Amino acid sequence: MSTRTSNWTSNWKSTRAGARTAAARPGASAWLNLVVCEAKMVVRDTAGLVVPLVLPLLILVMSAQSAGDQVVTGDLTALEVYVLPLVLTIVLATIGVINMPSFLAYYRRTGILRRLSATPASPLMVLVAQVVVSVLQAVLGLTLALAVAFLVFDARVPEHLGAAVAVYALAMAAMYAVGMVVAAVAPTPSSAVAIGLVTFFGLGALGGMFGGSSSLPGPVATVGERLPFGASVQALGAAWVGSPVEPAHLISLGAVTVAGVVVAALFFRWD
Amino acid sequence: MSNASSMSNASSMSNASSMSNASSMSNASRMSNASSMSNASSMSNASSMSNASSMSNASSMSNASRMSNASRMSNASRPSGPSGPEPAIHVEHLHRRYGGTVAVDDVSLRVEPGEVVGILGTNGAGKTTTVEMIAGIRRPDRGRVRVLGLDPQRDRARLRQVLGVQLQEATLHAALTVSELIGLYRTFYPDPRPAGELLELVGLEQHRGVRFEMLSGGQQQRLSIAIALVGRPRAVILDELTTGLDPRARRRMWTTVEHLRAEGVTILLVSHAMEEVERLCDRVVLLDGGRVVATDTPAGLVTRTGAMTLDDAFVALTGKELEVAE
Repeated sequence: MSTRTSNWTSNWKSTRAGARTAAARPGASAWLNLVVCEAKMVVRDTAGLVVPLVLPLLILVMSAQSAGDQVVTGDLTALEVYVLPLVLTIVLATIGVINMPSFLAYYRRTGILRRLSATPASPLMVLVAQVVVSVLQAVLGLTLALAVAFLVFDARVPEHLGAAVAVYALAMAAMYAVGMVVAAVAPTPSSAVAIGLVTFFGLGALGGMFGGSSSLPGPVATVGERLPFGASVQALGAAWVGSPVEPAHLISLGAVTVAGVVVAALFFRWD
Repeated sequence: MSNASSMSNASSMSNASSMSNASSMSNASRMSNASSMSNASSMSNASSMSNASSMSNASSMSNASRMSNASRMSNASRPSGPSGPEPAIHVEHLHRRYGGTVAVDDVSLRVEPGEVVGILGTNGAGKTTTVEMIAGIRRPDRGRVRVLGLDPQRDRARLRQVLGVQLQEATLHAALTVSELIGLYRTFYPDPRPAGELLELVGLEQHRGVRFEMLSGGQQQRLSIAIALVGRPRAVILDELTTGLDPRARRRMWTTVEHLRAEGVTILLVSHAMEEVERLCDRVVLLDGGRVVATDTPAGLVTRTGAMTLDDAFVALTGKELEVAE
C-alpha cells in the first residue's frame, strides 16, 4: 500500500513536469521506418503489385513490335511517340488511382488511421509514406518498361529528356491527387477499388488508351486531353518527339493536382 | 437451457428486491435526517419551553439536514477529499450526441494516479464514446476533460506522449509481423520500452516473425495492448481488454494489467466482464444510457445494493442484465 502511495506522488510530480515540457514529434527514424513498413505492405500485396508493374509491360510487349515499324517523324516510330507515353502513363494511373487509394481506404476501414491518431504519430504520416512508396513504385515501373523498350525494342531516348522527366513528375502528382480524392470519398476498401477502376478506365478511354485519341469524336478527344491521362500521354509524346509541350496539357495536370489535393483535404475522413 | 432461463429469472427476482434496497438507501439517509431532526427538536425542547422554541426547532432542523446533506455529497463525489492530489483523469459533465441519439449524458468521473478504474455498462451505454473523448480521439459536445493535467484537444501532442490507448475495433497493419509493428510504433516515442520487454509482458516472444493477420484474436489483442504500452505511458486506456479472448488468454491479460498497476500506471479500463472488473479494479464507474449510475468500489456496489454479487448489483442499479462476455 505504501509503495502505491509513493507511486501516486511520483506519478503526479512527473505529470506536472510532463505538462510543461514540449512534445517531441516523431523524427526522421519514424518517417523512414514508416516508409519501409508501407513498402513492405505494398510488396507483400503481390497481386496489387503485379498490375502496375506487369500490365504496362504486357501492353508494351504486345504493341511494340508493330509500333516500332511505323515511322511517325524522322527516325521516331509510334513506339516512342505513342506506345511508351501510354505505357508510362498507365504505370502512374494504376499505382495512383487504383492501388494507393485501396490501401488508404483499408487503413481507414480497419481503424489503423484511428490507432495512429492515438499515438504521437499523425495519420497524415501514413498518407505521406504511401505517396513516397507509390513514387518508388512508379520509378520501378518506369525503369522496367524503359529497360524492356530500350534493350529489346531499340526505343530512343526522348529528344527533350528534361521536359519528359518534368512532365512525368507532374503527371505523377496529378494521378496521385486523383487517387487521394478516390481515397477520400470511398467508404470501404472494395468501393475504393471499384471507384479507382472506373476512374482509371474512364480517364484512360478518354485519353486514348484504346486506340489513340484520334479515333475518338473531336470534342471527346479534346476533353480527354484536358484530363490527366490524356494530358500525360500527349505531353510525354511531345517531349519524346522534341516538339514543345503544349501549355494546355501542363495547366491541366497542374490544375488537377491542386484541385485533387484540395478536395481530398476537405473530404478525407480518418475513421 | 431451461436451467439457464430459470437462473436468470432467479437473478432478476433478486434484482427486484435489491432494487428496492437501492431505493431504501435514500430512505436511510432520509431517516438519518429525521433522527437528527428529532434530536435537534428534543434538545431545543429540553433547553427551553418558551414560544421561541418552535423557531429554534426550525433552524436547528435545517442545520442538521444541511450538514448531513453536505457530508453525503462529499462522500459520493470525492473519496480522496479536496486536498488530495490532482486526479490522473478528471472528467466533468461530458456530453456527446450522434445525430438525435445522446451517447454520453453528463458523465463525470475521477481516476486518481495509480488507480485502476473500470467503466462498466451494457452495449450502447456510452463507454467507448466516453473513453474516446478522454483519449482526445473524439471531441465532446460539452464538458471538461483533463488527463494528467492536459486537455486532450488542446494539448493533443503532449498527451500522446504520456497516454497509452488500446482501442476497440482498431487493428494494425495486417501484413506486418509482430516485430515490425512493435518496431514501427517504438519509433513514435522518445523513450520507448525495449521490444523484448514488451513481447515478454504480453507473452508474444514466440511470435515475433508472425504477421498480424496470422495471429489469433487473443494474440492480436495482446499485441495491441503491447503497442499501447510502447511509450511508457503514465496512464492507459484499455477498451474491451479481454473481449473475444479465451479464458487462458484472459487470465494472462489480467496478469499484465496487474504488472502495470504494480508499476504505478493509472488504468482506465472498459469492460463488460464482471469477473474482470472485480479482480482488477479499485473502483467501478457504472454507465447506463450514457449516464453515470454509480461510482464505488466493486465491494461497495455490492453492499450498497444489498446484492449478493457484483452481477446482481449491476442489475439492481441499471435494471439490465450484463451480457456474457463472448
